[in-house]
Amino acid sequence: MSEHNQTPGLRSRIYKSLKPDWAFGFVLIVGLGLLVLEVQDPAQYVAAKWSASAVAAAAIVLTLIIALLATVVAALDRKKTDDYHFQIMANSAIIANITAIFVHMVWNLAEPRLGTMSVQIMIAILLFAWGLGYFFYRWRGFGQ
Amino acid sequence: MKNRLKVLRAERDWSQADLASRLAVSRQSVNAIETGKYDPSLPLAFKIADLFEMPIEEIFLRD
Repeated sequence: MSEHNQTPGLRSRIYKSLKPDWAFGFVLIVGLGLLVLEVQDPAQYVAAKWSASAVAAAAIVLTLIIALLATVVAALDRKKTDDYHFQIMANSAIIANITAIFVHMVWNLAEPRLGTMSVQIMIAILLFAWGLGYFFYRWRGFGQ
Repeated sequence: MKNRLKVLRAERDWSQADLASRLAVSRQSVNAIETGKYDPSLPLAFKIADLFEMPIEEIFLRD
């Protein structure tokens, strides 16, 4: 009997029940919500001269513009870089995102000892994880 | 996915760099396909099939 005719396992069924559109819709709303809420916190920005709502609006517009530019650049990358390297960059970017989010969560739990994570440290973790992910895929591949 | 790229390349006495140049990809891409670390995209698979003048299914095999 071929593998396709077998009843899928629990893990496989859980993965298949996840709807990417719903999951990323949730991510989008959570991200937007956090952006709006975080700028209300005076501790997040010390020297802002604008009101919290103006800062939130500016952050949303800036994010939209940069995300649009990044989409255009990624499309150029896809055309100009060969498929193999583009796939590695894209897959390692996923690793970088997940790593940065979870390191931030763990860091928050240890905040009394580690102090508040700065934006620079967050970016450093993101870049470090992206590089690690890149070389992980270069070494292991992703054809299996 | 298995493939016969290394054998087909050797039959033509091409190096990985030669094949990469003919396919307009990097040598690392050719190496990754040959070692099974990367399954090429469909357009690249068609390009490979065109280059070797063979059907795709005679180059790329199911596991």
